[in-house]
Amino acid sequence: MQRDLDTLLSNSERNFILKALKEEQRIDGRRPFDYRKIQYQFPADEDGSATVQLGATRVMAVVTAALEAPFPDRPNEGSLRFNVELSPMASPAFEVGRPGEAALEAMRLLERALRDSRAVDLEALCVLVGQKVWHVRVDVHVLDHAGNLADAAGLAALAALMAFRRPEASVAPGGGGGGGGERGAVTLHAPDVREPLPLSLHHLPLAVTFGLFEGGEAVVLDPSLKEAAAAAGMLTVIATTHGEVCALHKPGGIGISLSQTMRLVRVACAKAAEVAEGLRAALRGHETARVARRVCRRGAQGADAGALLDDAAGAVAVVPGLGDPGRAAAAAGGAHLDALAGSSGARNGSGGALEPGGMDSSDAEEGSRTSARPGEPRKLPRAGLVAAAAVVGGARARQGPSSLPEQAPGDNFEAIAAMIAGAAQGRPHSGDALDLQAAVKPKSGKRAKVRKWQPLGT
Amino acid sequence: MEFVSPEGLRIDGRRPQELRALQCKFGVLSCCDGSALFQAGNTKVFAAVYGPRVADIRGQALHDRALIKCEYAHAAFSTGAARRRRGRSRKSTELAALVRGALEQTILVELLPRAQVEVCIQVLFADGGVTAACINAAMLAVADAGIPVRDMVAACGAGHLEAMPLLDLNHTEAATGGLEVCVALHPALDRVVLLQADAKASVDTLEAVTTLALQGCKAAAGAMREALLQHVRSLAARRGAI
Amino acid sequence: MSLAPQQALASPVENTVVGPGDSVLVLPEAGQVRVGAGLHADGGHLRTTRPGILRRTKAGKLWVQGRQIRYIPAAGDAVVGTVVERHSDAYNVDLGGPFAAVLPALAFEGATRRNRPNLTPGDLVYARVTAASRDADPEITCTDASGKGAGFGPLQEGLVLTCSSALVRQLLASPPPPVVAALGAALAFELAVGQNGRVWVGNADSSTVVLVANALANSERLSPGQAHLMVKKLLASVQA
Repeated sequence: MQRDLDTLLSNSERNFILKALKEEQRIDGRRPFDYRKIQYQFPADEDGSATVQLGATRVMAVVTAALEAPFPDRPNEGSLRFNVELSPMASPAFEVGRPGEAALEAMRLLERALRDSRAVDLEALCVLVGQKVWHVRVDVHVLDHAGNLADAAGLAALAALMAFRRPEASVAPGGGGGGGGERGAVTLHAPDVREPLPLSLHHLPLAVTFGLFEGGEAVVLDPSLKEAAAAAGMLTVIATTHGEVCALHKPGGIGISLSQTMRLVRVACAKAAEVAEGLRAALRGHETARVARRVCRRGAQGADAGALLDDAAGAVAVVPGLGDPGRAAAAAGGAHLDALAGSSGARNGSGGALEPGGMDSSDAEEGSRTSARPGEPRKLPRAGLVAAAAVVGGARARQGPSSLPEQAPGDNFEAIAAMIAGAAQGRPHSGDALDLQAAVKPKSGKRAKVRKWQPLGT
Repeated sequence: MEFVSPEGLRIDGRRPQELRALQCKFGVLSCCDGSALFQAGNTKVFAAVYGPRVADIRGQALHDRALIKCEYAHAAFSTGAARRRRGRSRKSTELAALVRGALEQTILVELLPRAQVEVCIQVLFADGGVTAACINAAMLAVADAGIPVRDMVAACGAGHLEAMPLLDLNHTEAATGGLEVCVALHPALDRVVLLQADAKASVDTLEAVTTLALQGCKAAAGAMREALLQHVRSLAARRGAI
Repeated sequence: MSLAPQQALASPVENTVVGPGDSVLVLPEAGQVRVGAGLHADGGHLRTTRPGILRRTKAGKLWVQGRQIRYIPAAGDAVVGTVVERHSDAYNVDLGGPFAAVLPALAFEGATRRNRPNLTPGDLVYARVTAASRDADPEITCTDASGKGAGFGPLQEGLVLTCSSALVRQLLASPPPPVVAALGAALAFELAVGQNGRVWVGNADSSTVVLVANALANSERLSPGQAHLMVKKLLASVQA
């Protein structure tokens, strides 16, 4: 009972909201078809996680994928599953443990939007027909409920799916001689060996929710908590950016005319296009930052790194190309610097934890990486670690043989990314495709090329 | 795998008796009475407090003191290894009980009879020291809500690896299965509220590790208190009250 | 300036920021120390129970000025409450605190058994707390001490802000804070400030009410100068 009390709307407020709506005035000053401010956050060191803030509503979505056997009735498709958790911290009305109708409704909306509408290409998730496919799972956590969960959860799930990268898997040709039986071995490539791949999305479905008020005449877009409490019904339209409708959801509530419904559907399509633009812009920013970080990972070995890092200030970004040792040590060194760069973003002053569980959880193939990694700190003096971790102003450059022009201070991630793409040209193996993937592959025997640019995070 | 290098550095570059960098933020959620975000290294925990308010279930209300309830939610992705947790596992119930125990000693429950204080904890990323981080986050949220407390409570963990006591273990170090101790302390009253130790060790080792953990608690308490005072100061300065 | 955690003082330092559990004063063996909200005597020390600013009232009482959202009822407070249940001779009113308060049906100006206001669950009332003890439900009334209405009673259409105790104290201070003064100079509206952290804005046309409510909600985080600027901008946009 107390839970209801906290979300109770008094009569005078309800009457006021209705009266104000007749004059097209909303209680937070918006116009009837305005969204609240949408903000996106993508964590620096994780692919496939996104936090969306729609006004004060905050929702976080995380995408994970596992390579397992497919469902027996669909041997050539991966799967996509959703889980929505309404944490009791999000609202006094949520109870822990029992999902409740609200959570189930949000989950079903996500399924209808992203899975039933075939937005995510499930056939592309198949690695080995009948044996290994990717099962993708999206966990949505509602951290703060201030109205309109459906839209926020849909946006968060979509942003996370678009930001997600899965490791590339290749199938070894299944041994010689005849017929069935012999299956190819599936190898998962570590992220620093082969660039992880994004999911392929056919279209971008977005949920747009309307609150309907008495008589179905007054309608508002993106109802806040109080507006939703005063509303007599809700209508959710899941639309794509091309003006197509994936799903409609009007679970009871006050009746409205068909012409009103179609009008709202058209408004929803227009709004979905606007919101998708914002989402794409945010993802672009995240992508350039991601690429810049991947460049950082190709760390130089031992003495090189030491010399680079002895300056108290500065982000060191080292373009691919390493000294001697084999790929494992190179990967380890790369991962180490990656962690440093990642942890610098996490503001760890005097000591940054290396990537925890994340990349080296239980995969056997990464065992060698884990064993090589603790070797790294020995080669770098502690001051060097601190310097690399504390990214503070200035830049440190070692003018190695470089075929590329110096970067002017103040260039940004797009320039870096463009440079990397251009960097591939200077390599002897210029026969490779001129793309980012080739540029970041480590090749043994190359000297490190160091460029000077602004520290990450500015 | 070596946990402490010959130069005295751990895997993440810390010294053996060095805490991870702490970060505290207040008022991060809008719907609750008090909320806080606590981060120690990569371990990141949200806490929200509702209360004091009427007990959900009338029969549970206590006539002479407040009822403290604690809910713990562990995000499915938070150990980074996509291990799926189905709802409430026994571990989450145990952790919730530990946090509740620490808070029951800290909150002045006699001042709020028949009321209920509910603490919700959400772990976003677990990189070792989760129990300690949950207690710290809950304490900060309770302080943000203005619920009367006897003293601050600060928690810290410590362990013993390669014949050396190490402060504030991260996930990799804790996964080895060596001695791990978690202590929660009232710094001003200098009383230990919560003490959990796992794995077999000699009494001397235990004492050394627990002493180290206590020092870590005091350091954490200092940092949390500073963050809290800074928050109060900035709010008051904006209002012109100071 | 703030107190170090273990520092116990012979005499407390006022107007300093304190954290919870700080020792403010070593209690003397004999004598009296007047103590208000936020302080707690524990084993010879007077300790704070919540973060805030240590203040001393004119009467010499020490208290900690904190900021909280939940309301703990105290006698004499004016509050804005929502009627939750209706019984034959009383209403249960939610104040946003730990317990619902009791409002006798006849506690209105000029009410008799035959002629009394008819409140339904969900109505808002502006009332005064008459009795508040830890162990019992608080009691409220819609009249002042002498039985007159004095502004108490049911509230009509309007918006209710939920805010912290600090903002409420600011609004009730005299002179009124710059936000209220600036808004009141340009617009006509009515405010009912409840010390339980609820402020009702009404008795004006919709756009005015919305503007005032949003301005007040934002003003907690702004300094007086910024608040003034915000109000000016809002008024300009309304008049435009």
